[in-house]
Amino acid sequence: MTFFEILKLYVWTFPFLALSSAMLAFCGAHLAARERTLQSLSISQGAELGSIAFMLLALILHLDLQEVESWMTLPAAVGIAFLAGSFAGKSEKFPASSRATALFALWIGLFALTQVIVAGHPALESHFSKIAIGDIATITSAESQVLCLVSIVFSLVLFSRRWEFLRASFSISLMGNNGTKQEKSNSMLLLLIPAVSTWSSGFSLTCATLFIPTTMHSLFQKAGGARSHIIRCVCDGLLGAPLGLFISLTFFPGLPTVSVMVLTLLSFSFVSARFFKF
Amino acid sequence: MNSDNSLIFACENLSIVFDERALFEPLTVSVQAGKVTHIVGKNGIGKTSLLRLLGSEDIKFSGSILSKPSPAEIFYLPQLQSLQSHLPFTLEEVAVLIGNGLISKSFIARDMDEISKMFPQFFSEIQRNKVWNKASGGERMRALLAGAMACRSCRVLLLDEPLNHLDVHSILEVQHSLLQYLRNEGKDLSVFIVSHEPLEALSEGLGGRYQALTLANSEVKLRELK
Repeated sequence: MTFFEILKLYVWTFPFLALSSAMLAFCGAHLAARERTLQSLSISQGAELGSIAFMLLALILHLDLQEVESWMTLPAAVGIAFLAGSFAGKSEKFPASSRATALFALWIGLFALTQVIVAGHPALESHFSKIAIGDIATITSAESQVLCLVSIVFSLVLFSRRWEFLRASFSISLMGNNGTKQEKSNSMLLLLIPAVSTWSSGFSLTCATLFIPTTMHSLFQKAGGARSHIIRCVCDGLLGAPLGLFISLTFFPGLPTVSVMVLTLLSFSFVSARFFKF
Repeated sequence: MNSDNSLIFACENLSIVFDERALFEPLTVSVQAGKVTHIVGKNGIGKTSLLRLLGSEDIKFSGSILSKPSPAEIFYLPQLQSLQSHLPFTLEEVAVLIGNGLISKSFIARDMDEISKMFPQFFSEIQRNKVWNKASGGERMRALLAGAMACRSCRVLLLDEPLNHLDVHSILEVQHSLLQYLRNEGKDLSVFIVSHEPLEALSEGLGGRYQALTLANSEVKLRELK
């Protein structure tokens, strides 16, 4: 496909991907600062589990999976993600030394449960693969438009509260302070976005976009402070993920799209962290 | 609650209650505005809880509080729980975030330069852009204090173990910066400091303005320097 053919075909997918990836990179930087990486992993796994569980329920009720609209699974995905998040939140009461292990145990438990549900019906295999690995290239134009709109709303909320997020991340990471009710609602938002993204773009792409930019900048950023770090992460998400989709479609159509996107994002973030100073 | 302007804190038979038990002997004390009170006592005696009670947090206590500052007048700087952060905060960003709280965003943006100009005793040009993770303990504490001082409505500063994790040189450095501020711009500021370290530089430099409040199971003592 030529450049213009790709643009025409994915006219809504690219802006959606750019916005959602920028948002996820923003959330990832704050989640990592608050040591919520494993918690967000459990929440994303919860979203995956909820979505698959809803599909199984649809099969039990003898509904045709082709007729089950993808948005119908959203409440189940977010609901189970919320439950997983609540369980993960209980780990706060554990000693700091055991917290990561407890969260890992929760994630592996949710993963196993997802596998058990998938084994419940052969028709669930393809849905599981779609939500686990992601299938961004097959999102329809109508779905992309709706997701684009949702991403704009979320982005505006995050942008308007960017100082509050920064202050809360500082206070949580260094003073162990979970802060005010408003800060708690901000934390919920930071965890809700990955849940919705897992439902729409898949577990792998969500986790990669959340944590690759912030990890790269944390390792290689030479100058600038926390604000600069977050701006760099957002730029990586904004440009790196759509670039990955473009490279996948143009040069490697035979390779898994999400894997090419993740590797492109990894390389893009490395180059941006290592060689660009602003 | 504060009827007398010169009185910043007064209590009668006050003790912190934990597990239905008073942590220290009942405390009856009056602290005048502008005093620097060093709260001392062994671990677990309730020093931090007393400070948090002063900071209007919901802490169980017995006795009565006759006078205390309003929450808007207080700046509470809690103990540092971790010395490293994933985000590379610069010392200037730390001061601005601490100082502004959740006040408007435009204020934060404008004040990036302002805080370091306002408090040269806490900041030098070189330190401003230093990353928190790579700064020394003394530099970190001075950035936190600069932020606390920038809180303009603040009349009372509550510092919980500000000298923890610092070497001897940094302890002196931080005390001297604080002393310089308290002697100049912060003449009316009341300070409560919980610290295991002796605050010799502060006690010598402030004279009668400094007092030590010792909490113990057997006795509670307010000692004022002559």
